[in-house]
Amino acid sequence: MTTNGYLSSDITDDGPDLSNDCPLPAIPSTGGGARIYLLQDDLDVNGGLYFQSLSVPHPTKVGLSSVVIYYAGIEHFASNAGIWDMAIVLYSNGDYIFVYGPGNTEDGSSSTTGIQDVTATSGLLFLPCDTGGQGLGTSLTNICILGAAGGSPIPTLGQWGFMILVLLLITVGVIKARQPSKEILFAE
Amino acid sequence: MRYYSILLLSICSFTILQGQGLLLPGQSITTNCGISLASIDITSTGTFLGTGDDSGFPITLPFNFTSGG
Repeated sequence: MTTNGYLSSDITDDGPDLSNDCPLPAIPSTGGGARIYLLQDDLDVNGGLYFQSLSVPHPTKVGLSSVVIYYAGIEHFASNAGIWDMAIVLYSNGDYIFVYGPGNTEDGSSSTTGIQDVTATSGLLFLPCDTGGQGLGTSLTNICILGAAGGSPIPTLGQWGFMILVLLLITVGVIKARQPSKEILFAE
Repeated sequence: MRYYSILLLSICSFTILQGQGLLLPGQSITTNCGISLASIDITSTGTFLGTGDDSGFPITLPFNFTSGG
């Protein structure tokens, strides 16, 4: 984890990538690895970075382990754009949740929030990068990437989709089977 | 039949979209799923890694975390 607001799968990435990658995918200016961009920018972490295994209830599933990575007292470098806290919750099934506190008045105008693969060939922005007005200063509290299979008695959206598809196929089949065949007979 | 076909096509497309890119199959992106910052504030209980500018801190997760891609 890095002070500049991203997580990298490369443990040798010691966090100097201060220029946010935008748009995604993008070859990182320094470092590498698959990345989760909670909010990448040139940030100063004044209150500290914290890490803890913590049982955070998953919004829809039970029986999952989770960890919290917490950024306390952050501000943009050499900026008066406020001080705020933010965190990411990682669940053992691959789901994760970004959590933002109020105070980031720059509001996304020079940052990146999203994910990217290890080869920097696939990327996905959760918020438009380098674009203000994202609600990060006031109203946006969560970005939730949820629904992966595992650890729950509740069917996921994908499983529901599959069940609906099967039901629809059966329904269509029944309707087709009950339709009388229309044959045109010509009298000789 | 036309409406059934449209509905089927929509569901199929949705299912395929969920399985590609960087999301795991079934995953979708939403906002405001009910986790407050106060409920996960670990500044008094968690492992303090450091402060500063342009720094990185290695951590080891207690489970195999796999995201899509």
